[in-house]
Amino acid sequence: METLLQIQNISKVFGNFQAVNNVSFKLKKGETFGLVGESGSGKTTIANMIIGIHAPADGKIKFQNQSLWERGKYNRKEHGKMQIVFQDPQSSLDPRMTVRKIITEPLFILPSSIKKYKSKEENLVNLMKRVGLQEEHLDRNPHEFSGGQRQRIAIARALITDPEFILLDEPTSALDVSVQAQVLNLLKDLQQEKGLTYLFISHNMSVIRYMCNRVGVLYKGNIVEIGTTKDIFESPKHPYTKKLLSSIPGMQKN
Amino acid sequence: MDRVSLSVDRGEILAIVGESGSGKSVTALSILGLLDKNAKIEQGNIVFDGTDLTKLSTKEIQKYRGKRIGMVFQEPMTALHPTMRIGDQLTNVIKRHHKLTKKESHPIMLEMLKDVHFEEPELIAQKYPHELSGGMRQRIVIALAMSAPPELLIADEPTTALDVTIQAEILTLMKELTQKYNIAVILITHDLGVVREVSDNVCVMYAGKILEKGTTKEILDNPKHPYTNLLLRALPDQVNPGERLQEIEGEVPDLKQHLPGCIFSSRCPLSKDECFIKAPPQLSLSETQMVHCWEVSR
Repeated sequence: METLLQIQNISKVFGNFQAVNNVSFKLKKGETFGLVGESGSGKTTIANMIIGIHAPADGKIKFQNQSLWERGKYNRKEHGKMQIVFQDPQSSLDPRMTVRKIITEPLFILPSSIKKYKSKEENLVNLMKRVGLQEEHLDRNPHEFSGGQRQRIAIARALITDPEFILLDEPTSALDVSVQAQVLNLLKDLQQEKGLTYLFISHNMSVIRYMCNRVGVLYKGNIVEIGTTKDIFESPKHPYTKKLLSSIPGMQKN
Repeated sequence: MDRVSLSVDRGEILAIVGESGSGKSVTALSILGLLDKNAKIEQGNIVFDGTDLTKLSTKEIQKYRGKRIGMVFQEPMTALHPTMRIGDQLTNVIKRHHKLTKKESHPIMLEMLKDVHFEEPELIAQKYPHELSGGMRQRIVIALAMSAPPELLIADEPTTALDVTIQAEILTLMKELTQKYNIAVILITHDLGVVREVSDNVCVMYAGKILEKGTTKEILDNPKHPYTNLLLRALPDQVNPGERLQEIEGEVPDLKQHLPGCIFSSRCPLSKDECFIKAPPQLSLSETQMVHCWEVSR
């Protein structure tokens, strides 16, 4: 399988705090790679370096074989190929924009011909339906929706540019179990349909197990273990991975 | 909330489990008389050790809060005074509950810090809340709640804001204290994993009603209500990655309208005509398990 995203020895320091230390992993096209760790383990810092919020102090990030960071500047060959869905759909959607504005906003950066084509009414309606929303929702504001619906809006916003890769940063952590199930199913379906590649960040081991092909376990800025989901869950090697697995409440412990 | 009944004994942990808007926190707040002014208890009573708490004045119920009924909330930072040392916060409470001087309270305070697994209580007593991690703060909050010690402890999502490894610690600690002080605990949570881990009995709430209750084993291994069933199958740890997660179609109904039938009927895959018209019967399935459902009665 072709490598889509490659993280090579990246590090990040904030003041005296080593947030990320020499982390490397690869995402193959079409797979879901999970990053799991507790608060302060560096999950979000890694995400921020991939999407261009923080420059890595060291190391390289390559997307489609092109380096994303050059001398502290973030540049992409093509816009809209990489998208993100954030954890909290309350704060990631502008309350004063209509859903139509929110989901077409990522198109601004694209050439006007593509922009015009993609913001056609028919296209928007199809997109809304695909994520489980309705046509009439387009002209409403975010506050009129429940948490699960808002996360669907955020997913529609990510899909509109036809991305190759979506970074999912704790996409269901703020949702109820029954709604989480809806969103996880939707994400899996979309991946199959569109051949998407996901980087799935979560602190929830059960969600990681369900969603991911491979997993990297982060602990204090380091990847302590990396492997297929099966290996990580069935024969964890690192003591921290073992501790993490045994802490899952309600898991039958052998 | 509508006709909610539950009971909890000494040494028992009762979990109230439900999704957002199910009324689980309202249940807890009503026990302590902490509901908003515009909310009122229309019917029923809350009997605590023989006294009906709903009949008490604000001043009278004040005597119960903290002293006989302790409370632990989700967010430990907001429950602690930010500019007061941990030791002082604890001694203040001990002084009050036990009518002691500051000096006399000191050794009790250190003992309590040990109770919540601090190896060096003297050191911790000198710290301010912001110097501690989330898990440590939650342990302090538990120590505060246990300082009386109360007879009933209400814990509202005590581990939701914490990392899993810390969550495991806090849950073990709560189990331990329940045994040690022989208190009754009401644990409010949305997490069925937490329920399996610590509780003896479970109430499943949905849109202000209890749909099913029973022992933890009965509810988790042999759920009868369709909602409990669906909820368990919606958990990602219950299915193989190849299978689809169980979705529960639709949303929690608008509670401003009075629904004559079963509150879950609009989302229930098994609902039939009578479910929408008449309130479901209460069925006892064992000495401990009880369910409100037409489908189970058929």
